[in-house]
Amino acid sequence: MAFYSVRKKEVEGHLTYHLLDPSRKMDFGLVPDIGNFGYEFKVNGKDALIPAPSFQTYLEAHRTSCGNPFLAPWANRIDRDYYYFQGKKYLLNEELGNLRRDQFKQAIHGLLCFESRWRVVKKGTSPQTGAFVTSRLEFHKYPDLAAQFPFAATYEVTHLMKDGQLEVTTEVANTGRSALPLMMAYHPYFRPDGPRDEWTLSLHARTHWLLNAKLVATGETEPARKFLPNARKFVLGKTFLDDEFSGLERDARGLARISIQGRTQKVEVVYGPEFDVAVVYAPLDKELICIEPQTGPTNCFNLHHDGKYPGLMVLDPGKTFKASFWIVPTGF
Amino acid sequence: MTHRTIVLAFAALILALPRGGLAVGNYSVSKKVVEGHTTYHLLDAQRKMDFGIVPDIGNFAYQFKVNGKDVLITPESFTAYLDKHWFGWGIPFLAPYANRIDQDFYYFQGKKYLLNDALGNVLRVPPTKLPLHGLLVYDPRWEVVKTGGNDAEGAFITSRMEFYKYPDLMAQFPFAQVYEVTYRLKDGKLECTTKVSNVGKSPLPVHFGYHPYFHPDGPREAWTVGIGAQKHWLVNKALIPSGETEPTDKFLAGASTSFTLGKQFVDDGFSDFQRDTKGLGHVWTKGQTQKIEVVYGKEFDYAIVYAPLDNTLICIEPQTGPTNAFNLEHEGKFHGLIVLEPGKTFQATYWIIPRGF
Repeated sequence: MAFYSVRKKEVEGHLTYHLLDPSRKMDFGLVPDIGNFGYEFKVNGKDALIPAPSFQTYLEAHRTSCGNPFLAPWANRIDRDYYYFQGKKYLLNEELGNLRRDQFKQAIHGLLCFESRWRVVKKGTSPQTGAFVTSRLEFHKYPDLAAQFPFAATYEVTHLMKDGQLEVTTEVANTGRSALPLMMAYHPYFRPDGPRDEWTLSLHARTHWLLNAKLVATGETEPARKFLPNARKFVLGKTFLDDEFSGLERDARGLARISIQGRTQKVEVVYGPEFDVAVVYAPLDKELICIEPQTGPTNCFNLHHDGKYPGLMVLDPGKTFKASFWIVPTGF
Repeated sequence: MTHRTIVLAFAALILALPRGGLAVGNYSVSKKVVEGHTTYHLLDAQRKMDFGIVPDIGNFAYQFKVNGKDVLITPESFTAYLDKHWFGWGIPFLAPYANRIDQDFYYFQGKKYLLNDALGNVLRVPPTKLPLHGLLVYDPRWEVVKTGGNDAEGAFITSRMEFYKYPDLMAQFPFAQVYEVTYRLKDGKLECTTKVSNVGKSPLPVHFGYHPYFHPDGPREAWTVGIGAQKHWLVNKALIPSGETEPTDKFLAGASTSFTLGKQFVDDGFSDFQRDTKGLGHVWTKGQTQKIEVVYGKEFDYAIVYAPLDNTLICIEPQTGPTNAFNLEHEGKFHGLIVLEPGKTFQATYWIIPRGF
């Protein structure tokens, strides 16, 4: 019998919320005022997510390589300092100080990674519902955000601990009177036990997206099996991965699964149908793997404008978009 | 209440109700379609006043007739107004900035915001080609939320623009706000009240103006003008205030009380109104018999008077703060920028009083 609970505690001056499942010894920690960041996920005292070294380090380094940051209103890169939607050109404004840049100076990872203005609006527990916390960000109410992405939107993210899984549900409500282009992702960073070279990736995807020299999807694709023939059971070895996949194979409920297996520890990321793109990032200079649920390919606004991607998600006024994914740790 | 008084009250109520757009009383609102646009007319039968507004063209006040004569300069047509982008007709509403911004960006609370020409809604006119007159002059997305006509309230119409819901507006001015403008015809005056609500969670810089264009009777040279404001603002070649001021009467002898326009070109800003006991400021122009007074509520603390030589008109503009207020404030040349806190509503009223029509 599980006795789920939600506990608040202050860590380094930040209020954190912990979703607890004592029967499975699970403890997921969220810090709303740092981008609603899932900063740790412990199972039997072991880390299912790579924990943030400290909040101070995380904020100062301004790099995402731990926990589970939320990336919106765009994930990964935009290839120019502007983007198009429905034929109109919108500018990104460097001067507002909230753009992040990649090694090629491209705008990357949206605006919300370190955002302090998330508010917890609901939390609760019961044996039936598990333990959950819901955070909200009224995006359009902040001029530094609206200047970069002027589409009226409210984000609500619910983290739910239940049955040994962490469920993350994102709702985007279009509170404007104009269509809203949708893109987002999460970057959960994992480090299962055993040496990196022996980690086994399991990826069931049909399509691999080709990238240009600046790591932006070109719109061209190839069969995933051509890129990674043994993706269903792929031992990482010395392979560097920073690649984008779609055409995920789904079960009868529309769910797709990508997992990384260490010696005994396995983490599976379950993709709800709305997360139609998976980016897998496994660098050689750091021992980690990031299995990223993403809606649409990187740079999808401009790809769509350039006629290279027809599937951009567009949310009509008054509508709410909802997407879930799950992190399922076993063997911890 | 007796049965008899109930019947009488009911009868009075029935009499006060509008029928088919025509009120039994003096004041009424009528709707008509002009060139495919729904227009609303505020009517004062007794004074033969007819004020017309077209919500889906920037909530533009396009005519104001008294005894069949024009208090405002009426546009040739809506088509001409939309095609020519001409300023010299009716009363356009200028927001979220009135008149010019001296750069393609502006500052607020130390942050720099960009104006984006690619969105096609930044107005610019020769000779300066600077961004001018805000984003709403031709906006079709105003909605009428209330109208009414009765003795107590006069004839009125309230239009709303939910600015924050439109990305092409928010991209230029990303401060979540809702505008509500009420025009009211009552006691021979046209009253215009603007409400700006900050529906965001961050402070909002407020700046707007109205440009009512007048053409009183008689020759332009003989028109008299009184500008009841004590300070005249100096401008640079691009017509941007430098922040420096001089006494109004130093700029133009007698201007603060009354002067004859003659061959004088005026396109100037004034502040520090001589306010009456109700806190109202006054700027007026008078032709042969027709006089038009613009009465400034205290929130309208800046007047621009525009009387060109190449066009027979005079525009007496109620404005909140000087032209280029955002950047002037940033440069330390102006200290009175109106900043609206989250959840608050700013309200400003001016009146147009026509006489001798």
